[in-house]
Amino acid sequence: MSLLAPLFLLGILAVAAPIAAHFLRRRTAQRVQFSATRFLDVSAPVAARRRELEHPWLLLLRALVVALLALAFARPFFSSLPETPLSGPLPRSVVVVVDQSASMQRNGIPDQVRSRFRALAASLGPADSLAVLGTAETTPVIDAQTWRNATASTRASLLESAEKAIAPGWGASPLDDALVRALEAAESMREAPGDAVPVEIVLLSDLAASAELSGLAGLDWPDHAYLRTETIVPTATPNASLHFLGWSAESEAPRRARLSLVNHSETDLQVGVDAFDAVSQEPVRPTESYALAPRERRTIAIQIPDTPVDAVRVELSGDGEPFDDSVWIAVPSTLRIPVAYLGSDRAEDPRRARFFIERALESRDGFEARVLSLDSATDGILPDASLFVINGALQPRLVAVLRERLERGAHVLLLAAGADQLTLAAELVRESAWTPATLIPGSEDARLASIDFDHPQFAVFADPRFSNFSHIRFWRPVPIVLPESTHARAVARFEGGAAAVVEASVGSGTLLVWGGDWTPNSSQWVLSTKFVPWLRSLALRSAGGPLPDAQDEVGSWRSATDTVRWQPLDGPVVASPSTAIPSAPGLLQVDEGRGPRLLALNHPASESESRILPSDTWVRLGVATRPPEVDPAAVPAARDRLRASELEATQSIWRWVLLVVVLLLVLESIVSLRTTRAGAPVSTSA
Amino acid sequence: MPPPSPSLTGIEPAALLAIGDLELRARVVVEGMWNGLHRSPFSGFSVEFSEYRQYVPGDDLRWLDWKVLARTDREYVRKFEDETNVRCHLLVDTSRSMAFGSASYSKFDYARTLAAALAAFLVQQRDMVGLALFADALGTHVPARWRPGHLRRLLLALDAAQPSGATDLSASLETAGRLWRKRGIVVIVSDLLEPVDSWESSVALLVAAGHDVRVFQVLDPAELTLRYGRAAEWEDLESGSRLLVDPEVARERYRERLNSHLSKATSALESRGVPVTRVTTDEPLDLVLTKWMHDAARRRSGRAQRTRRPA
Repeated sequence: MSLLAPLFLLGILAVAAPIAAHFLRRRTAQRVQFSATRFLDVSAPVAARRRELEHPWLLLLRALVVALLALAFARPFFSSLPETPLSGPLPRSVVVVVDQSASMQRNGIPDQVRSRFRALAASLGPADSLAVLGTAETTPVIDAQTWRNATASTRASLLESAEKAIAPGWGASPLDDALVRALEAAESMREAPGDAVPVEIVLLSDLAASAELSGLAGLDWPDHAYLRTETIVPTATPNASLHFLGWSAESEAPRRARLSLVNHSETDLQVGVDAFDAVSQEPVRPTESYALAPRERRTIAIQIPDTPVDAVRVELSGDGEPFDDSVWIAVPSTLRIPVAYLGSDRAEDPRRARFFIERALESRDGFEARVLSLDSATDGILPDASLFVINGALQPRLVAVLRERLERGAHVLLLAAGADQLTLAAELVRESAWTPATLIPGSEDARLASIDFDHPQFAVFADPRFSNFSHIRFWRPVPIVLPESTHARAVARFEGGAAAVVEASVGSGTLLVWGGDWTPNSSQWVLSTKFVPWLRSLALRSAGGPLPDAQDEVGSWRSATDTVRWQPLDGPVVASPSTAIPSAPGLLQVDEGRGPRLLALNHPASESESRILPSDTWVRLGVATRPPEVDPAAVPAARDRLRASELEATQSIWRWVLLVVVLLLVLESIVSLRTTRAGAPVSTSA
Repeated sequence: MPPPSPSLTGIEPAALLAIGDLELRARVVVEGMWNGLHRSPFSGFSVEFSEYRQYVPGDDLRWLDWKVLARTDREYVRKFEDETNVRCHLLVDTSRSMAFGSASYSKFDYARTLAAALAAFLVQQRDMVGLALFADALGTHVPARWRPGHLRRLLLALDAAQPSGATDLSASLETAGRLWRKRGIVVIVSDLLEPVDSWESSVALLVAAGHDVRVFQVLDPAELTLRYGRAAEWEDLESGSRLLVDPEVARERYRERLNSHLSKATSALESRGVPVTRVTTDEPLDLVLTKWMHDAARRRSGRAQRTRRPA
């Protein structure tokens, strides 16, 4: 019998512990501290005079438990298999990293990757370790433990399924993340015996200059691994690419999409550009041809017709590489926010609040606020709006309706010009005694002295460059005094501590109370630079925030909500983006709880870049590209350890030893219990 | 002087010593003492010590009571009414043997509460009180004074003290003798378990220096009876030496040797005019102190009568 970790046998020395304990128990373990021992004579207790060993069976059981535990930790095994000849090759540990970026779809590359991978797998011996990683996946395609435990036939099927899994995708090329994962895999291989042999990390990649490597910059490359790159060169084919740059002018109609047209080859190219309605597949304009000089980069514009076209697909033709010839463009949705203004002032009167509110909410940047007047509410029916602005008295019958809207999630801004408005606010919150505070006598104006910049309404001003509100004067402020027991909280306060802006949650809605009206005669607020972003921020809050961008890249799109549902325009609904994010370019219909919208996904523009990484890249990043020197003396020992480890893992004798230990412990408990019950208690009290 | 009123009930030491704050403990004891004193015609501790004092070399001869000298051939110094304050030095044993306690508290806890109560009582009477802690040498020393906050200082010193080290009463007394130039009452609070020969002469020196030495010998009841512990390895608190002892077997011999030691200590002290009050830690402190004062007063009174009798 051999031992994998013979040093653990030293644990047998711990047998001395139960033996010593049994012998020591012959003497009393008690100790008494006393002040006048000099008047005492030695008078050995009766128990201390006994010479015989107490409970020899217990001692035997306990010693056996300790000895067997030491044996189990020493990992015994029978070395029955024939030994590997010492002159044989060293076992190799290989981690294969396959670049799955979009540029790996170029002509000839997938075939080369497949053949290189097959050749690499064929070069591995039975004792070699293998792990396979793809840049698009965070989990290994083949992990070292699976490979080690697999039989020869299982390994063949593992390699077959790995070949399919490492096919190129449409995302970017995060080589740094993949290499860090490869180092982790290498480390786990080192934990196995045979760690004298360095781990070889083989990178199968086109090594495009656009590959992400910044994550390796601060990495301390370990000694036990080195990188070997196998550069996969595409078939020499001229390539041109097309990428969406943005809209030429967003408010302009019809819209014009700007695209970047690049010739990546060293030859002249004549290419054509077609645009189709992404839904009906009808062309939206005639084909246009462009002559491109070598490495020429040109910006072109495509007019999207006024007809209801929500998305277009632009196709490039005339080059030899099809992977980057399609671009999907979704027309961004406009966020429409209905705002109801409940006040008696006219929109044309520049001395009243409504004039400024309507101008602040003018349509811009995909934002369209529709301000409704009080007239539509005079009959006791409130318009359907997400934001209500109240400036003035409210008919009593409207209060209950407004409260109901608040509970359903509406936002209400109440301009409190006096005590009546504060009473209305308290009524909406169902509290009592919101009262105006008395101003400090003699003060000509008030200013905002304390603002909660963590609050979403003021967060836009949190940067110190914008957080100065002290130049805005309020000549007719209405400082608010809240009752002691209130659900509301002050978001901003005037000098002196009274609340200036108060927010209260009512149901799922929000009531915001501004202490004072918004006429230019009352304060400088509506004329200040803070007013428009503050009010637009409130309008956006009431609509659930701005709409996300309609364009994104494969691999980088993540929804802001967990309840998103998405589907390719011609595919089934996918409900769980965290486990099945879109992996190919195309047009998606996304619903994040605010109605469906279109999202165009394209491959990263950088993937069309045909240049390869500079030759000194790995040196600059401190990546080891040569195998480290291996101590020849450690080689046989490493192989022996590997063989021993494999044998031990197969036999797992330690499990049986532990089973015996458990049985012995049960027996020991029984014997100990009986011994304790059989023994008479000894009175030791004074 | 009559003994304390029999109706006076003492404060259970376990309950008293369970009070964490030493000052509060002292106040409780002093309160009990006053109750006892008020029930008797005893007029106060300080006054009893203020009438006469034996002459010691260095005293001003102007205050020598020549009449007493003529009648008794012994020198006594008269004190004036404004010299009623007593200078009292409390010398408390902090050796490790004092850490012993068969109850929930140690001899040291008991001893320092006794010292604290005595200090509080004397300070209340505007007497000057000093404190010295000793083990193998004289440690913390607070000179005798009377001034606001002085009691607090004494109590803090007592509160901070912890039993440590072996006992060397002789060396400590010699150091104390050098420190205390002015004569006064020296109250030694110790278990006095050291061999008598080792400290006998030092006490004699202190007496010869004119100090009125009194001893509280604080012992645990278990130390007197050896009704304690079990057959085991017994470790000496001071020396750390160990020996196997079965108290059932060793009890008789222990008592003999201890009693012999106690007798020897008592006779050694009393032969030098040092009264010994042996206290066990289960005795109520207020009763112990009240009785001690009465005894002191009675002794003083008897001494004065003996002095007058020849006349």
